[in-house]
Amino acid sequence: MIARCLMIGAAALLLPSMPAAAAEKPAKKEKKEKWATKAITDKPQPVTLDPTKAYILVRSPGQIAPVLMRLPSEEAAAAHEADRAEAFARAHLSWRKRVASIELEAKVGGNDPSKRRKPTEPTLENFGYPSYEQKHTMFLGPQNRFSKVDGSVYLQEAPPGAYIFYAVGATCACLGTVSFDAPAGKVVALDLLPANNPDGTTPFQLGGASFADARLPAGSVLPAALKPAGPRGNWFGITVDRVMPVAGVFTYVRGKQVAEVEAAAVAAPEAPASDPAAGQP
Amino acid sequence: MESVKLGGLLLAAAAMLASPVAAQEAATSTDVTKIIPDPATVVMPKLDFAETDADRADYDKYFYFHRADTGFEEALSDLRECDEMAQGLQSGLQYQQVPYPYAGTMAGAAGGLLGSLIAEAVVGSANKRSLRRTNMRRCMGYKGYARYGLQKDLWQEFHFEEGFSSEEESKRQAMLAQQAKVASGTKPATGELGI
Repeated sequence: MIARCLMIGAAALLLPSMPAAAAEKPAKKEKKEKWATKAITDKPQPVTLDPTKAYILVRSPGQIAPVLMRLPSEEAAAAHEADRAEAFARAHLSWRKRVASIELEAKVGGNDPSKRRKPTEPTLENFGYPSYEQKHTMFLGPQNRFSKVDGSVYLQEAPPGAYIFYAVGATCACLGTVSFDAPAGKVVALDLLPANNPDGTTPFQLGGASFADARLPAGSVLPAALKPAGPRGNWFGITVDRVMPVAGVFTYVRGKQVAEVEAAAVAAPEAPASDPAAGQP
Repeated sequence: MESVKLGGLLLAAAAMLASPVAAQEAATSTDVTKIIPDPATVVMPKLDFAETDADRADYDKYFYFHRADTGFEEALSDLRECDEMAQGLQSGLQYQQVPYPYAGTMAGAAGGLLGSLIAEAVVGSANKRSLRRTNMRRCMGYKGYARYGLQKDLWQEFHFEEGFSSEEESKRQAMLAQQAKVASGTKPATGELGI
């Protein structure tokens, strides 16, 4: 017992002096990005829009719990990558200390090192650090509706930027989703219809919404311009599904999103060799 | 006596520090999720069986996929992608001893509706196994793979179920390779099932 304590003590004393470890010790971060959103609830007074914030409006026939996530700008992605690298350096240092401790214990105590399970080395590939989107998740509904007229309308104040639709309740659009821009000082509106298909799937029908409400400033509401945003990880371990194709925007070919123009080109039959439109000599 | 022990420990510690790289390398594992095996070395599982009503009743659990005009590598890539989705994590090799800086930011969410729905979705090993099947079927179905029923005993030879515990990664990858061989092989003569 005493020997074990001494071993640990010795390792603790010596390990911080490892030159490589000291060199890799991450520097302290100066400033973290603040992430906050706020539901705008059903009040009779007019809504005053903050010109530095974006507003996202989701309309559905019934009460739902949509989940949206913010996409990173180039700067935010770089900052996130730096955070990840810092966390990785810490995790790797911790792993090295752990392995060194196991080896030391085996050498000094005469233990069989093969009987001690060594932790898996963290690598950049297997390091489980949350994505930017996970750290910038926005949960709407099912309560705190902005309007109950003709269905349920949710209005959320959020930092301006690009957003993806991620889930409704316990079903995500992990197999294919869409993004849209939410500019500052504007209300971006989208319709969301979670449909139950006969085959048991529940793809989401999304589209830009035309929405009017006397409490919102005139001209402030824009229909969301949807763009294909590809798949996302099943980060919450829930049921996976996808957003249905959006006419004129994208469709799916073998499970992958393809812009409508490209899809038309793929689907078109091969032109005869003499057809000048096909670019043949 | 104690000072002798301490001296020995310090010497041993110094010896360890002299070769930290060797210690690290010993614990480094190969990423088996990136290896593409030679399909010729992958054993083709048995798929022929005399179908019974009991087999048919279990086709929602025991099935395999096939898609025409698909190579082994493409099928393996699709199966791995869907397996990852079905697992509910980004990677099967998630490093567990990570600091979790986003735990704080998710704390509010955990108490919210989605948190409770997630908790409900993952409660119980049977639910998790069922969720995995559903996710595999949707993911592969959307990729254009047809689903075919299989007898339970044959299915278990090259498939795995996951409740609270995960299949060991090398075994998982070996089974996915067999599934890819089937998915990219000869079109089954039996009838297709829906998603």
